Amino acid sequence: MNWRVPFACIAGAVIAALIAGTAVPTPGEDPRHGAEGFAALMRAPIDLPHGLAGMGFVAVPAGTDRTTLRVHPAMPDCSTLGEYAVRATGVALALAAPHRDSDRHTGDLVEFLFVETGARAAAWNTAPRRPSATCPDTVDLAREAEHPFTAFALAFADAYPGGSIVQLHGFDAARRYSEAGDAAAIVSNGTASPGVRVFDLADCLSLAFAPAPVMVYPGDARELGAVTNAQGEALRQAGFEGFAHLELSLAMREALMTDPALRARLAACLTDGAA
Amino acid sequence: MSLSLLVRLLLALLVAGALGVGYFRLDPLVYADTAAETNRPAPAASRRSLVYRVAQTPITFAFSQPVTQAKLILHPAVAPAVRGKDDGFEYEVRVSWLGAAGQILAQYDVALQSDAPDIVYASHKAERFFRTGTDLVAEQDELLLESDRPALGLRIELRRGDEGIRGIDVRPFERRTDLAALSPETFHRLSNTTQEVILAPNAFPAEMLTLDEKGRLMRNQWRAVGPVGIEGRDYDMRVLYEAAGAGP
Repeated sequence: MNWRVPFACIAGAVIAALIAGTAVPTPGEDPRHGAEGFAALMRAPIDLPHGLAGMGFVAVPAGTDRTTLRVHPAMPDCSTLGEYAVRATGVALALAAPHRDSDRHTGDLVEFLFVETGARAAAWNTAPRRPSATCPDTVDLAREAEHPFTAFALAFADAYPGGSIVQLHGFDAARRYSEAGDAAAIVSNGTASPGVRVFDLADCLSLAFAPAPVMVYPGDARELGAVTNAQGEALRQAGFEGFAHLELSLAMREALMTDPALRARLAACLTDGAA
Repeated sequence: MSLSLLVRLLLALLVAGALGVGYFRLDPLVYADTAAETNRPAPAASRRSLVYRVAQTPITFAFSQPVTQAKLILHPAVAPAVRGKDDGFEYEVRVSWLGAAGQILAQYDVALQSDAPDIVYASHKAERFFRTGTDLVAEQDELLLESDRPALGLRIELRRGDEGIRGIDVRPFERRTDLAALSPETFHRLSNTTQEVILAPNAFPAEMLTLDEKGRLMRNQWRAVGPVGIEGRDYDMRVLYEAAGAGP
């Protein structure tokens, strides 16, 4: 073997590492890609930061008081980027619906609750969770560690370390084989160790939804605990303790959509936990 | 007699060790008394239930359909000062079956006795507690009730109770008549989910149960029922925690 070959390999590896280290990260490579842009957005939701524009987002002012900026993909059809809303003032609460197409009413509930709680931030998926003829490119945001959806959550956690991020999901009781099938709601933090904040939220919801059963993973319900949730995992690694995963039965989602008083009780529970 | 440095050191370690053990073996209910103003933590595997407090005024519960059988799980909530009461607590509840117009179909006075929290939970194998407030949970009882005529409601009233009882917390259930009315042979025609629910309280799989046993399980299905009225005016509720092992 020529003596130059090992040197060429080493030099090639060094050059490749340098290129990789200086390359601009794109979605799918860095969990915090876009977090700086979202952080700037949370500091001043007036204009779209350059970082987010470069990722393919556009911004539209929203709300009657024009203090909210909605950020959505410039090419909305089947975009996997997600949609985001940030308010200049309000409660340190972020609401998220990562499956608004498949978990019926969760997107609309986040829309309602974003207004009714005065939450600082909200996020939704834009591409469907499962592929279809019209949208073959899909993404399950709750499993995407390296995605603007996760970066948005991390930026919120940095901006409001004592705040709460609540993800709304929906489950089909008929497909559940444990006690979860009887639940109206299942609360978890994505681990088998629900802390005081999860129990506080669950207790508040138990009284708000009574007599519909509200369960906590894993003591009351042994499934739907979000243990593989990408945002929950990223937030825990970042030291954020305010992540909550709220699974709602279809009956409860329908009740929340049609009963403003019930939704107000849910809103009160969500804002109680937000610092 | 003077002690050597080594002996003094050993004695100091012994005392420190004993203090440490005492600190970590503190009775969890003692902790509950001192942390009354904050929401206490709970073991991860805690099970939670809604309970309704029967105190000065009766509470009426509504069934989802006319039923002749109901179940009440109840326990006194007592003050910390009487947590170790040797002879426990005596109390009496009046249970009234109600018809569609609210008329009384039948009425019973039931006298019960509950051991004090320090006695019930002395082994620390399982504990019941609230995360808020100072109320402690005394021994639990279960009442199976039967009415001659189908009823649409159940009213529960606290008739009398020993000093230290702050109220009786109840969890009412109605018999699931849809399953109780079926013959055992129909078990295998039920959906997998329903079969799972029916078999859940049993330690054995379906293949190991006789048809009679399956039938008995089908008849022993209960559904929680809620109160009538407005919270705060007609009833008060709270979340009860049940945990195996050490309490909060």
